[in-house]
Amino acid sequence: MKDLSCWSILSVLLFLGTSSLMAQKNLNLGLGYFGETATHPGLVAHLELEKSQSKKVSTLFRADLGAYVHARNHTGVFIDVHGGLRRYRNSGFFTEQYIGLGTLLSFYNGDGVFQRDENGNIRRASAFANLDIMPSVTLGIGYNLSKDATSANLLYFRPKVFWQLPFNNLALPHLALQVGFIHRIK
Amino acid sequence: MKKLFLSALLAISLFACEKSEFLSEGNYYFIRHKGATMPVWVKGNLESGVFLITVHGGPGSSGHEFAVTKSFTELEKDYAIVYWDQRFSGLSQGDPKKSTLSIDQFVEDVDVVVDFVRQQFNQPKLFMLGHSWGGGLSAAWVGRNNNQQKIQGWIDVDGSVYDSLEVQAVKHWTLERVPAKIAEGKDLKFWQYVIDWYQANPAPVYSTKEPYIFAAALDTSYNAAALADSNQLDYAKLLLRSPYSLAYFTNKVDARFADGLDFRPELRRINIPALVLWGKDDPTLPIELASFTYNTLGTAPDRKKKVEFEKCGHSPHYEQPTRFVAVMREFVEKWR
Repeated sequence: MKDLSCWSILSVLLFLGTSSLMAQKNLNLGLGYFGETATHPGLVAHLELEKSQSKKVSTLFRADLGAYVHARNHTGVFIDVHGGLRRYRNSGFFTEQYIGLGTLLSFYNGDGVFQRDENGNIRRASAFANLDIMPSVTLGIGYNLSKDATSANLLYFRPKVFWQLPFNNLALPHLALQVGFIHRIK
Repeated sequence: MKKLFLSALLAISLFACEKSEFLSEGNYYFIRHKGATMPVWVKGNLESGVFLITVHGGPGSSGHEFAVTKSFTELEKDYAIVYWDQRFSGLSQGDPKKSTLSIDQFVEDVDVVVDFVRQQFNQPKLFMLGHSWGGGLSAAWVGRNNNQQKIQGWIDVDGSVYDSLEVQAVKHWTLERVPAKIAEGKDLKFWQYVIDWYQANPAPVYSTKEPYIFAAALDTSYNAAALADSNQLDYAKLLLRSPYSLAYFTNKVDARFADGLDFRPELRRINIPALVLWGKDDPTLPIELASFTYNTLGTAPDRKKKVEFEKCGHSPHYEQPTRFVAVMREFVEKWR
């Protein structure tokens, strides 16, 4: 049921993204550092569909694929999609905000996972943890090295809050910091 | 902007690469059982062949809290210490069913942890220490089946073993002190509310929060400044370079499953060496409960000992690390 609802929402977002593609003007690619709680390191790759609404404002549909390692806690691999806005300033700075939804594949990260088998013996078990739903909210600030909204070479700094659910009958919030570069390819 | 960006990247990189004892010391395992994935951190002197399994309080606290105290850091020099987070607690992961919130399930989890340690570390000499709720939980495990044959000794630190007696002890402890507070003339409405609440609720249960809030509002010997000196924490490292996650704050245990807990039968069955440690100013489980636990224990008088800590509240291991370590060493060395 959990997976079904997750994929249903993802499908809706992908449909919206495809709709956006029909009218989009630009395609961007990006790569960045993804730090869960800032310092648990990882990488994230972005594919952005950017549609200009005016000279300074554009709407975005972004898909992220990333992974990070929180030592002695878990290793996360995620794919999530975002919808949001980016506002360019004359100074070259830009701000952005997104909401997102995705899925987080996690593995326990430690010196081993163990469980008691049906015979009462302790056995090593798989480190695979869960495939969880991952909603998120992201803010961003950055700088367009091209200083021109018609072209884009963007440095960004994005704090992100994402949730892992279900987790102990609730949802576990994670804080993350992303720092990276985006280049307009089309 | 470029400089700012590069500086931020450099700062993160440097901190991320800094060595952290939270990520390097000992061995860090996970135990999966009935939907929960519970971290088990084993560190200290593994070569000693003596392992102390800690059972934390709450329910809902964390075994990792022991690991950052001066007392357990000191004990790690002599023994291996096992820090374990119970289901729904601390840094535990997974998504167990609510129906697994039961005393029997928690006792079963203790059993899995003990079997894991025995197998993973080649049948070491084991001691078990429980604090607060963990005192009762560990007593329940020790006193059931033939579990006590697996360990050398049991240490109870301000442990909770008999709900209906304890809530009345807290009530008396609180109401004895309220008149003095009223005489001080401060917060009169609050202290009158305490009296009225107890008149309306003469028999609270384990999960009732108010008695503990009232008791905590009374002065004890708890000295925050002194504690900061004896348990200095690198909070930045704990937040950014350790196993800690926000689960530490979001994991919750609905304690109603423990209402009416009564581990007297298990206590009476215990006959291994036992050490009962208690803070004389404990507002959560007042000092008379130390004698109750000590007297109810089935262990022969020459194999059990009770130590009361002067000017100490609910957590002697945290509040008086030097004396705590001394009595722990004496007990373990005698019965190892």
